[in-house]
Amino acid sequence: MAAEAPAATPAHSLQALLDMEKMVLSSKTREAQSPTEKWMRYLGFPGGILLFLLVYYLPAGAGLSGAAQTGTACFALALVWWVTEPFPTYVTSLILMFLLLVTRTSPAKPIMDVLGMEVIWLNLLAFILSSMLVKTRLAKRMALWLIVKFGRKASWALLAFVILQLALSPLIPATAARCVMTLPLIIVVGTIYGSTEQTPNNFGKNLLLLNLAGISVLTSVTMTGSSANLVAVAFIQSMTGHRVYYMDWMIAGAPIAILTMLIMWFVGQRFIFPIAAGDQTPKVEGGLALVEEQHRSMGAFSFQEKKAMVIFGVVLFLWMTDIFHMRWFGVEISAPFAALIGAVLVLFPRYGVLQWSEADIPWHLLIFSAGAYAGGLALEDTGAAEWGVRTLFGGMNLKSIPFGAAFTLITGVMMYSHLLTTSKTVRTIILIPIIITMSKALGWDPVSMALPAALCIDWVVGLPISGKPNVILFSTNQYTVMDNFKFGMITCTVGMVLLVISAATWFHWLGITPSFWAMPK
Amino acid sequence: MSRLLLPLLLLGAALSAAEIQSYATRVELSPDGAGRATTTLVIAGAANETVEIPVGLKASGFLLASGPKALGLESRGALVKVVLPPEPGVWTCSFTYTATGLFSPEAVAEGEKAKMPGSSRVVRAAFVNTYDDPITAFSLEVVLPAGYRFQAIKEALPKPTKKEAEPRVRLGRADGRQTALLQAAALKQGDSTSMVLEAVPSSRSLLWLVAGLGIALLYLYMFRDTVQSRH
Repeated sequence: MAAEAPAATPAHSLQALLDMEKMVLSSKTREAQSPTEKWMRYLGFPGGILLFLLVYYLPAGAGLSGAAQTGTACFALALVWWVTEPFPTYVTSLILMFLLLVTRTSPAKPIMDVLGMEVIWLNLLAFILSSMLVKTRLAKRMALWLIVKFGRKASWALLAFVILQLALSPLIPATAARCVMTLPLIIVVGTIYGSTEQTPNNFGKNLLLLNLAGISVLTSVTMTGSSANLVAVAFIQSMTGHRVYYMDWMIAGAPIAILTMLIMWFVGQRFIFPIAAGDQTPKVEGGLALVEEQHRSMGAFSFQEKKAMVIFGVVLFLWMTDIFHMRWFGVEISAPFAALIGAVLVLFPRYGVLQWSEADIPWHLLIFSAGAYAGGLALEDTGAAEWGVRTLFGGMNLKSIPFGAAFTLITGVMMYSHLLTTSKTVRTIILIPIIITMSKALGWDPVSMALPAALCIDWVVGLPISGKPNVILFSTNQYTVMDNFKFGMITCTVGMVLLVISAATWFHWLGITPSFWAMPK
Repeated sequence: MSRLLLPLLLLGAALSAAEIQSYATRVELSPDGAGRATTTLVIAGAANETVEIPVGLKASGFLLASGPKALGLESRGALVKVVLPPEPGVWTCSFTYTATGLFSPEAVAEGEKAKMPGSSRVVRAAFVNTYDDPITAFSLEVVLPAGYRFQAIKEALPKPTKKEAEPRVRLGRADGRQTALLQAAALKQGDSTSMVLEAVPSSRSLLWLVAGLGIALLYLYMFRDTVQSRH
């Protein structure tokens, strides 16, 4: 399924590798590489159409509106095309937007409005900040430092990124911001290990997908990791009267998230995308000594680098202090607006760092995101997503099974549902109230189901459309949709296993869950 | 003394007002737009108490369908006057009537563009509680005529609060016909709830099938070189 990587990547000159201005994100279309991928493309097109027709002409479900059914059909078609890529992903997004209109799933305005959504703005502005890090060579300096400190062996370089994402997760709530902040480092370190867009290798796949998982999964370490976590906590409080405190969340969520990342760090490089012995060390002529030499030769920080650090510091400060904004400024400066002020400083005439033409903005990714969001919103607005969840839960006969089995099914639905929706908040708004109501009906303490389910909100790692960081990292062209799916599903499954073990052990000891074998009252 | 007595008497009267514990209406629509409605009430009240119940729909031809023998029913425009039996208690009764104006084509003013296809129908229902006390549980179920299905819920008010897990309007099916159930709890005097839905004929055009299969076959032919050997 995956693109065949060359067996051994040739050594490159470090100067050529680190010419980051050549690594533009804004003009990419992936070529099919392996025969499997070619067949997937060829058959994916009619496959998507057949799935569309099947869903469209199926007898309507009792609680399903016509728009919900056509919306599901359109999204199913797009999902098949995004995965098999008979067209570039952004063309599929444009087709999806057109289909949503002509099948009368959504009116024109909400479809067009997605390009003005906060998430699209945040992506756009974050790419400008990322371009600043590249142009001033700050990204190159940080990457070289990272390699000098931790990069003697591929596995340590990968672990360094896990630790970096863990350190950033409580500081910066916006996952896209965290992703863009680390993207230049990821690209350069990948390049030093021989993984480029033209010659992706298994180190690159591990690096990118481990970072993708880290950005998403480690967001569930803290309650304030994402706004969707806070929405879930608000639902739990208003519908059950139980207040979830910061430490309650962390004690339950942090061990699962951190342990999953460590397992994926080990399993990824050993079994999913095994790193060849030859790729275990930096693939540059002269080896690590040359990297150290290059780092030394950069000398002291340049004035432009210092400017970039100050600008990034301002944005970072605003991202980290959002809970105090109302008190300080009388208004909350959200993540996109913090990035916006950064972009203003970056592009400021004469005193800024970049010209507009130097900003590397991958518009095709923004169109791809817009289509995915339009499809996801259509599923939400038409009630298709909620109907699907209720039908699924309704068919499970949860009254006749012990708590542990019901827990596994319910948290499983929450964990894997991100494949069908593109917004964590929407998923939370649909699923958490249903889980709370259902738990009450079954006689379980609603918190015993809702809190563990809320811990799965941020695990959006299955597809490039599942989240903002996914779209951004996919732009590097170093892994396929199937690679993403494989790594993401294994991550979710590891997380599920840990969640279930937790429910049977320390969640029970902490008083969150009842006995694993208890039957409904 | 009389200054104190009057408010106390009024307060006593208010406290003794009958409580509408449940107000459930089901309207079966026919293709011509008329609807056969049945409203079932659960009322807790004093002996011989008169309760003026808001109907909310354009209605005529009221008939008591079930309830205690001594219960009186009289229609008064947008209200139904129910006289409770001569002993206090919790009473369940239902009455039927003809409702009009719920199921009609989209109204397009001259010079305006239509927003729906000509085959679409609009289902529009609203209820305002004009009764003195809260209605504990309110529901209004609309059953579509055979051969129609709901295309979209255009409006469902008020928006559910964070304590409500159920959506304001839930679609369902009864006897092979699609239904829309509007539900609200604790409707105080002056509170309103409403829904607007679009209904369309349930049969689907074969255009998508023909076009989809045609395009798929064309693609398989035109792009066959994708998987052909280069030799």
